[in-house]
Amino acid sequence: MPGEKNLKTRVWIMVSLSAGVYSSALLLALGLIGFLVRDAAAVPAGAGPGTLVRQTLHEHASAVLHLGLWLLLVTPILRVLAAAVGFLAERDHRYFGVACGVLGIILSGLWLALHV
Amino acid sequence: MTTAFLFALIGLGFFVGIIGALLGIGGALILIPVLTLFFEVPLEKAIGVGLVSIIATSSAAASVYVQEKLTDIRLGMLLELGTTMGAVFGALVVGYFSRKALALMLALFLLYSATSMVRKIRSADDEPAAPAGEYSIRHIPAGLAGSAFAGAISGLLGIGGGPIKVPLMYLVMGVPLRVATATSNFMIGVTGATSALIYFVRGRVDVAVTAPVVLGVFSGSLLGSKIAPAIRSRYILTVFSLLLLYLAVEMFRVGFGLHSP
Repeated sequence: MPGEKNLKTRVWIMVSLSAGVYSSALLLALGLIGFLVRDAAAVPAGAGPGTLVRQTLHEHASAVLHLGLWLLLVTPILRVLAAAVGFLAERDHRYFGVACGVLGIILSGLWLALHV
Repeated sequence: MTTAFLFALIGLGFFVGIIGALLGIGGALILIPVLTLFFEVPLEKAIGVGLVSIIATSSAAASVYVQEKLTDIRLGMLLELGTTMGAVFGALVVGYFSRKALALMLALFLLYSATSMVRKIRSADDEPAAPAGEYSIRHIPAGLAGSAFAGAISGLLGIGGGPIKVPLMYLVMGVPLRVATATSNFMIGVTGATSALIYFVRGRVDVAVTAPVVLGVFSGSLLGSKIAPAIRSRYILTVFSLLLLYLAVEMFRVGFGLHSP
């Protein structure tokens, strides 16, 4: 039954979820702003910080978007990792093994996608 | 991509995010057919967008459920053994299915989900107001098998699989409904990520379409979770079930070659 027994696991999962989701959202927002900023001319001499930020965002928009999506994809994996650590901290070795099994399946799938 | 198209994608994601938060679903069931039918995104790429978007909705809502201690983390992790295996299988073999075959499968799932919504509307008054206290989980092998099936469907069609997982836990495994819903939500993100990673490395995720949709989904989910207590779910369920029926008909037409998106 869900309850206080899972407290440490619960806290770590919540932290990993929130951190991953909000970081990803920030990167995606920055990347999309970069796409919308269309003046991609060479940086003029003496350019102010506003111009430099705009230029940087535009030039790296695609990379920032990819990074944001990667972070979003990895967040649930971090969630499983956080759960595994939590189970270990609670000395629940059975479910630590289950969580490791889930991680193993995910990584195996990634390996198969790259090599098959 | 034009600015107008970009904002239209954000708007679509926002709408899907709100609906997902209000109804406790991933939203990909609406997102994928709408992208295919009205935004001219190829179905294979739309499925990739759907998978990434369900991670966004699942992650946003899951932290709330975990905080409220509704999620049975251990059960979710156990069933993830099945769903991730199914998701890997589905994501690896999706390339062997034609677009029409995928459209027909999606149409069938839309129809099933629409009828589930209708049943939910009729039984809304009978739902228990709070989760039961102690409960014992039964039929674990059946739960694992059903989870593997849900994972395979998720990997093939880009949806969360909640309409399979929640009844599985509630009706077969003896888990209280609210716990089943919260636990399913917890699982959907991991299942989605398992398939999405495979889609991503195989180039089936269109970043230019996915990024604005996901940003919209984030924002919509946040707003939806805030306004959910003030909205009567019965009305939302009715509208949503009608929308699912309409999309099911359109996807059947795509599947039978009567509609070229």
